Amino acid sequence: MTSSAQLKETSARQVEPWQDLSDDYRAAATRMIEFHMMSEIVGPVHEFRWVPRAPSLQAKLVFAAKSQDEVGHGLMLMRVCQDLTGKSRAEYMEQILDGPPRFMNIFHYPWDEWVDPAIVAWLIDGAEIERQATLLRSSYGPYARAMRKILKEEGFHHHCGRYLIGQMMAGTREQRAAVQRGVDRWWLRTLAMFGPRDENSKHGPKLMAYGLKFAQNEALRQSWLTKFVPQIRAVGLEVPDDNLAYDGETGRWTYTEPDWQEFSSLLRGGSPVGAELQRELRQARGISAWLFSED
Amino acid sequence: MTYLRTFEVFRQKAPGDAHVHVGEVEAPDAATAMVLAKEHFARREVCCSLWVADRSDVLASQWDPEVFDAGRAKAYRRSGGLRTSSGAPS
Ligand SMILES: [Fe+2]
Ligand SMILES: [Fe+2]
Repeated sequence: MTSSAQLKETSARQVEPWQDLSDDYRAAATRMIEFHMMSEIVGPVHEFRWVPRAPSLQAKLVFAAKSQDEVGHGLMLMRVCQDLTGKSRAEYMEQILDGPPRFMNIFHYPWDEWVDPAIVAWLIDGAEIERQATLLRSSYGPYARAMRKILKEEGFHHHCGRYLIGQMMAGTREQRAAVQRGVDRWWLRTLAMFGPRDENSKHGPKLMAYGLKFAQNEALRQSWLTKFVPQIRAVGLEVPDDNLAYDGETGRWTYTEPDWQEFSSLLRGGSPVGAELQRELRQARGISAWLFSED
Repeated sequence: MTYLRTFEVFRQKAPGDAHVHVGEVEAPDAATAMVLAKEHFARREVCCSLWVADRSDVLASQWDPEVFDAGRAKAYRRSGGLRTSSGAPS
């Protein structure tokens, strides 16, 4: 058991992997960072599928660069996890390809239309920025440092998404309608991405107590709404929620709740789409296996 | 993949700057680590030179951070308060 005095001590300053860290701290950090790592490695499968199908050379270049960035984020976080747990890269690859689907909800939905990757880059990489900016202070030093590089690149992803959406909104009526359908599809998934309110979050309070994270899920969702509702409306799109309202007095948004049951079942049990991503990575790994064989 | 080793990566942004630690890569040897480091840490960022060093060659201090505080107690190592011969503060 860790006393609250010890918790405070741990969150008072950043710690390094070679220091004497309690098993409980290590386990909490590992759970959080492994989830982030797997998301960064599995997610880009969606993106690089769009490289050959993207409608312009520039869009192809953007998605080639973005998926390379994301895999780079994954690799950097894998190093962070390896120092926490002592597992090898091979063990982590096995865990990612064959293990339970511990990654973000948004990768469990199909990205079938060209607007899907663009909306994700715009809204969801934007949401990631909101979250990761607070992780620059995370008490686990190597994670906080990795976040500096990751955050810069997520900024590029967000701007690319915004640019691609802007292009489509300046296009034909069909293009604008397709973008609106995309926002309708992704709205609740994006709100859910931040996770349940902390009173309903299993690991949130401990991560906060350890200083591994600093902002509550709901606070992040609120600041994302403040930034993105005006952005969505400014390009001529509607936010698909009749209950959405801003209370000037409390400074808070009210909104229709995402389906939290669906959220937790995706995070716990996965989905056919998620399994397909893992399968595709497994296949790619199989094809290049000869590169890594030692004989 | 047991032959992979961990290499610490140091990046120099501009001539005259120090090489600053930016992260790690895993590679079978230093030359490969350098290629990976270039791809990983100098693909986007400003960079004019990279170092890679096998982690096992790095000796890390084991002292508590407080040990280093001792240096700050040595006021006589600072010039503040020393007088020049004319009596003016240095
Ligand atoms: Fe990323
Ligand atoms: Fe991203």
